[in-house]
Amino acid sequence: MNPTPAALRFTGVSKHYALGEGLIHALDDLTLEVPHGAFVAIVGRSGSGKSTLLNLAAGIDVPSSGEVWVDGRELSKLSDDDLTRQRRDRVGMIYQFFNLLSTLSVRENVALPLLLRGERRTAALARADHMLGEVDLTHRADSRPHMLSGGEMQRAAIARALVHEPALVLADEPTGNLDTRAADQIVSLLADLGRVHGVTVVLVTHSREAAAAAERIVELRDGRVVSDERTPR
Amino acid sequence: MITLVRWLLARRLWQERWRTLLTLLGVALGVSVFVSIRLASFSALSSFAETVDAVTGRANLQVQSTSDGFDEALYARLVRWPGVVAAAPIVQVSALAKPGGPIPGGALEFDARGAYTENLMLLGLDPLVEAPFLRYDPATAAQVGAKGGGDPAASMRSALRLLAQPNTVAITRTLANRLRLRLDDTLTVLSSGIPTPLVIAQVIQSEELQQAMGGNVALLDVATAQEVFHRSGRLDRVDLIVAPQDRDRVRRELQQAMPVEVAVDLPQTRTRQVENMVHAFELNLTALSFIALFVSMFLIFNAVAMSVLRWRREVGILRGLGVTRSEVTALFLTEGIVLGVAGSAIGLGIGTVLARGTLHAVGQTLTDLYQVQHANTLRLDPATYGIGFGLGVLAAFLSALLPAIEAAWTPPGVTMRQGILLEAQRLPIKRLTATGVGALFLSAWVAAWTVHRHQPMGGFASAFLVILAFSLLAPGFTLTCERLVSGPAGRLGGIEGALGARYLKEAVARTSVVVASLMLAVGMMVALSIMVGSFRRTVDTWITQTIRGDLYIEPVGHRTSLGATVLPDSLIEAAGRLPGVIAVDTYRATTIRFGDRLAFVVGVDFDVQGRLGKLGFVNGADSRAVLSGALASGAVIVTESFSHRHRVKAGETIELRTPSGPARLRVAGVFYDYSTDAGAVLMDRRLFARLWKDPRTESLALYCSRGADLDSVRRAFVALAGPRRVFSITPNQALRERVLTVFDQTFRITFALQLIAVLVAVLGVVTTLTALILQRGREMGVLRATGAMVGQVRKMVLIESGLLGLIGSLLGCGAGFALALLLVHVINKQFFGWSIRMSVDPWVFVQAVVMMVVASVLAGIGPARSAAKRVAAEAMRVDA
Repeated sequence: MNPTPAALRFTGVSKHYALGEGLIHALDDLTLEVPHGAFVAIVGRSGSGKSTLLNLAAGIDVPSSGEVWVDGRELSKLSDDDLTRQRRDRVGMIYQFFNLLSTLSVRENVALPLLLRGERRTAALARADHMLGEVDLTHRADSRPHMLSGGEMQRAAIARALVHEPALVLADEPTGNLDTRAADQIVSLLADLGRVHGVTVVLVTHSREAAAAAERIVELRDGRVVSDERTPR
Repeated sequence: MITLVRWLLARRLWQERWRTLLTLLGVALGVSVFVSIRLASFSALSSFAETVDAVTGRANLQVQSTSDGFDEALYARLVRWPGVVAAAPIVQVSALAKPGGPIPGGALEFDARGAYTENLMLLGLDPLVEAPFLRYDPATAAQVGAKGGGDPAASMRSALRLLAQPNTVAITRTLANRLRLRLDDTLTVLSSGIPTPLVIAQVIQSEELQQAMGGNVALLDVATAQEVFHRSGRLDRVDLIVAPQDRDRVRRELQQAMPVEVAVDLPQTRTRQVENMVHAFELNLTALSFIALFVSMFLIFNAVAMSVLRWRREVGILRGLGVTRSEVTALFLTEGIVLGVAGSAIGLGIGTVLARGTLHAVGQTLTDLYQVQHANTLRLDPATYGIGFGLGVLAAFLSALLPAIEAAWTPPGVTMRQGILLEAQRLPIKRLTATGVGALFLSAWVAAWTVHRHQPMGGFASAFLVILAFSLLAPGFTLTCERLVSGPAGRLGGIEGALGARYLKEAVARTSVVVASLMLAVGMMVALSIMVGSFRRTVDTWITQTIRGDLYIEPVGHRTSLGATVLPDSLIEAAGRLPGVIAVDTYRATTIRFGDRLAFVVGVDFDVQGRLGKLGFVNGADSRAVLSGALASGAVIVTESFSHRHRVKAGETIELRTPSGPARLRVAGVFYDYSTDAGAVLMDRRLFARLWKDPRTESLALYCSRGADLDSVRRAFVALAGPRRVFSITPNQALRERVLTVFDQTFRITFALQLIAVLVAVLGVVTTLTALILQRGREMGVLRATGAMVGQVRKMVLIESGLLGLIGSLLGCGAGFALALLLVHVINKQFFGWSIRMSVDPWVFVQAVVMMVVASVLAGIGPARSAAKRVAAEAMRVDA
């Protein structure tokens, strides 16, 4: 039973990777709670455990010990199919390298999560068009990803992450591959849309500027939380 | 550079060892087919050549009949001929044999041998004149161990026994050991169906004859051979030793002095004539074996192209670190060559194993179609291995060249580009399609030229152009199909179907290579099926038309002994009087030289054939009219192959060398015949008897009255023939079935080749799909991270591979139809001279498509499972 109603909760989570004969402690007894509707930035140096935290939250990696709760469900109790369903229905993901499928148009990329869960094509595309409108990409709907700029690709990726109205959006360095202006736009967009749609956003970033847009900044070092601060609003 | 190769190439091949293994297997199969076919025909022909060499000994000139023996009186003239150092008379007969004494005669099924399972070459010679020829020295032949050991006197005594005692025989040590025969044991041979016991007077220990016919050789005194095989007063050959400086002169003089039916040849002439006769058959098999090699070229192309794609970023990094373009080219070329060298080496081994099976099939065809007797012993030919290996490596080099160059000339910027998951390579589709259409037109022109100019090799050039054309059409066809199927695939297969179909288009540069290799395999399959099916139907119609007799009778062993088979005239006359028999047709055949080739001359009863038979004549001439006209005017008819090979038409005159002198004979008609492509001249039996001074009969056909009880006729004939003879008596329907069985046996090897080509193509689908999946790891990861279930990813990959199979097989059906047209109307016609009525069974296409789609889906199962296993975490990681 989830002790408290939270979008994301880590309780004493450790994650070790075997490296040769030794162990790498990516996360070390980490406890963290993100309430519904929050916009939290996770910062830290390379190797601090940020991406591992995100992978665990997405259910695409499993902890060595501890519990990961997403939207009231403890992930270790879910089968692979349930985890996939959880991702498909309740989680949206955004990557540094956008990861749009080049075989699909921008509109189709955005509609993909809906199509994968079996929604009708026309309905899915209509919803995708709506989302593209929200990220100001209607004019690029029929383009192929490789014809878009980095900022545009990331906006398309945001639309894809939100199209199925997830409870939680996990963004892994979404500004890492963009110039400053595009990065600012993406973070603002993420914050605005998160607010509008009532979505919990967890943003993993190196960038202090990007993190500043969040309402709370959690800093990781060696797999542990070293600071957890609210940003001044 | 070597370090670079070791670090990058060796590790990469090891890392992807399953894919490497599959590619190696594909190349190995391609090479092995070529090697096995070549080894089999080499073995069959070299066995024949070795037999000829062994029975020729040191003779450097041979006086031999161009047909069926000559008067032995010639021998006395030859011995005294100026310049002749030694002369040896020979009667040479092949016969069926069994160890032990005779068993009662009777009637067997067509082609059955009963207990007579051994195929024996019997050489009738004069032991006393043999010593200079070094094939049989009476003083040493029976000595055990090294030359000089043993007892020459004992050897000479056993040799003299051959001379003095009738029906004695000397056999090789090899045969004696195999059949567990010892001195004074009995070996029974079939002569015209009569079991004739021969007592073993000597076991030949000397090595010369152990190789001929795999050791299945027996020596008799020439007089015994003449008596046993009904050749009284006749010789097949006189071997001569002439001083080398006199050879040409003696040959010239003899050629002028000898009767026209006698040829004076160098010993190797016979081998060359047989090689010429079977050349078309051999060449066709070799050409077929190249198809599997072609398919493996696609496989290597794919393997290297996939490596280029998969290791694109590494190439970019290397280029950034200062590796030159030529070094990058060399790196990927080396990969192709390594695959080619290793695959070819494995192929040589597999080819040797396959050759054992192939040899039996090839050998059987050589015996059935050309009456070439040989031993089924596999010979390992270094030249075949060299050529097979060289072709494999060359194919690998050529296949790897294009992707290697592509890798080197791709700007580092592209290889380093990030952000999208697939690099969409653009192909000049329109240009490729236009070139493909051009190649098709060129192919049609070459085919027309081939037919017009009678240039057989043009047929292969035309077929190559068809394959090239359809390969070039593959990308355009793939895109067209994608447009057609993407809608239905999406509607029927959901998002997985849509994604699977879409990928065909996006990666058309890669998928069209798979489509092309599938096209080639299916094309070959369809073409051969149409050709063989058309041929079979043509032969079926032909035998139904021409085989009109009710019972076909021949002594068992006739097909081995051929012209040495003789049936008594009294038996034939009595058979004609049996109740229910209305006519008897007789058969007598001999081999002749016509131009520079061997052909058959056959004597049959034109009167019976005209009244009761029905030969199919080219241009639709009436069989009865042609045959009665030919009978009245002493004309002959020729087979279509003969007409084609020697450019002889109806109404023209041909000149044959006969024992009665040169005979100029009018060709009354050209008839369809599919029994051999060597070509045959058919004449009335009375004309044959007059020209060849040979009224004898080898086999016969009985025509019975309507309603006659064939079983009674059969029993009556057996009773008539007496208890000793072993006959095969075959009813009409059984003979037709048997002809079709022989036909199917002949093409069995073709279907084996076809199967291997399909297997190689399917391996291509497996390796390509696996590589594509590996290369699309991040895409799969994104799909999984975005919520695609394991089953959905599997379904997508399976739909993709099924669509690849569908598109490849549809294109293959087109290519197959074009190739079938060439095979039927150009290649077969030019090589064999046979008219085949093309008939297309739509099921051939349906079967090919269904089979290839199923095979492709099955091939996709492994890659689909591996795709579904891609953990979504991969998508989260960055490229670096």
